[in-house]
Amino acid sequence: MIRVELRKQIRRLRTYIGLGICFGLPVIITIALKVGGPPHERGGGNEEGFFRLATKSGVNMPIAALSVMSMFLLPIVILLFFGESVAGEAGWGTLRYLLVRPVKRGKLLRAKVVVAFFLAIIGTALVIAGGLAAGIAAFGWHSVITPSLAVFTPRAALQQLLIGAGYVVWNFSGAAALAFLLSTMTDSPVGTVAGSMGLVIVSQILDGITAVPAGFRNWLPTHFWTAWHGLFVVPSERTDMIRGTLHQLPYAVGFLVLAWWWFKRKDILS
Amino acid sequence: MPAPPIQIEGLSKRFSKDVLAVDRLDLTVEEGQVFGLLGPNGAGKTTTLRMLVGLVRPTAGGSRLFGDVVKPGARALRRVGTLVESPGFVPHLSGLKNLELFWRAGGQHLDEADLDGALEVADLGRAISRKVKTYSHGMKQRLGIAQALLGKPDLLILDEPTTGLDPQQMREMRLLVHSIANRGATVLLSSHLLGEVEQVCSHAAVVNRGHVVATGTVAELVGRATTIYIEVDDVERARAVLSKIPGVRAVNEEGTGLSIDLEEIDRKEIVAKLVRGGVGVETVMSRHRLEDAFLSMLEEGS
Repeated sequence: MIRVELRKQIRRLRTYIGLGICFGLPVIITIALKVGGPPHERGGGNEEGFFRLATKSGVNMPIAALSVMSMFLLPIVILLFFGESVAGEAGWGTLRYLLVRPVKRGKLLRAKVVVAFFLAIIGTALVIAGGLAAGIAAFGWHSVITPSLAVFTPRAALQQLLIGAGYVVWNFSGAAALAFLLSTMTDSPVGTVAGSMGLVIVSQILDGITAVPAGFRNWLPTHFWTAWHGLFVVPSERTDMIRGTLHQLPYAVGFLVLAWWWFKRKDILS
Repeated sequence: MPAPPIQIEGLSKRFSKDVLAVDRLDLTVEEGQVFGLLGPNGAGKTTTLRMLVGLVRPTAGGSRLFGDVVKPGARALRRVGTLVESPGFVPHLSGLKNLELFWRAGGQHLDEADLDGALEVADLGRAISRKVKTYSHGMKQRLGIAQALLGKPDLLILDEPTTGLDPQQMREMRLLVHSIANRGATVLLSSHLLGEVEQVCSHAAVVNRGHVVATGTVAELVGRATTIYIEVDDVERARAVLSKIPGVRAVNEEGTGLSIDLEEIDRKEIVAKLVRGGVGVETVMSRHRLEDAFLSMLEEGS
């Protein structure tokens, strides 16, 4: 079942484009920095911070790329993988044919989630691969200087980055589970992305307003999204990462259980 | 005795307060029958078929396939091939790949699929390895039937299988259903076309507003042609002549013509007597119970 799903999803223009963006954008950014030189303005936040230092070492580049893409572009691509999985079948008119086979609906959902999750990992890995390849080609294999002025050997920085990337993927799980829930409810893949991305954006906006009580902001699904930056200070700050990891669980589990419950009972009319 | 392929009892589906799509429908299809579910659009045929294969949850009642209670993913679905409304395929994959993936998604091995037999039915030649999005409607319909035939099912459920086909393709579809039935499989097909059911089916049920109005063998429903419809040049004279013929039970005006209920008398004889009585006969058409049932419920529905 999982192999069948994978086969169906991989050979598609949509998947190529999504994954192509993941790989291509860090490359384009690198070229822009190489041609235009490093940005001189003093940046405020960490994302700009990573960018100001992106030209110092090739390994800085994937950190900067992940940092900037993980807030908006990467979630869109990943939410599309999740949101399209069931709604896309409904749109093709193939969902009913999947479900007239002697296969439990829960099994189909499991295969869909596993494949979407796999594509999400591939997408995130490609951001790093693109940034790393282009970065090393443009700026070389040097020690990494972080915005907090900590220095990492390229190998150590890469190790931290891989942990960070795993954290980034996991952090999408709440929103992705929502996209998946919406996917079982509608026949429109675009609607699922709009809905789940809406949650992400609203959450980011609320989180950015300091007047909103911290007790509330701590519960927003995107609140700990940047906690992996703590890997690049010395000594590394992992408390927020651990909190962030646990933080996604109620969202992910809640939405997935709801999706499962809904889909089990759904009348397939598409 | 093995359980019949299809047993439906008291099946009902309410979509909302005002929409009762299927209303306490009972139906049994025995092995080897080619069973037609005849009814106008919106009679509840598609919803019934969807409930029968576990896509839609009944509000009340239920159905059995080969004796097994139908629920999503029921084991009995292994023995069933289905075409529900239009065929659906993954557009960016070839026809052949679609069939393979469809079959494997059911957790079954390709060796059991009789892929060659299905490909023969699809009759798409080299187009079978082209992407489905390049197919015409007729090609998709044939591929859909081929998909339903994968694994040589004991029961084939076809929803409006000739929709959108041209007359030649419709003819091929009828021949195909015959050949499937000859193989010993049971077929349940829905249609809003009376002629199609007459030509293809051995048994039929007329469905309107979610329940069965009439059922029986097609010969039973069609054979006893008890009513004819005629158009004549002089209606009054025709009525006078008809009133003297013993086999004529009733004469009713219908539009510009007359509908005549007959008993044990040939329509040739009626026409001959009318002509001898000086009535010019312009049109003679047989009416039978199936058509009557169908028409009367169409009128009710409008």
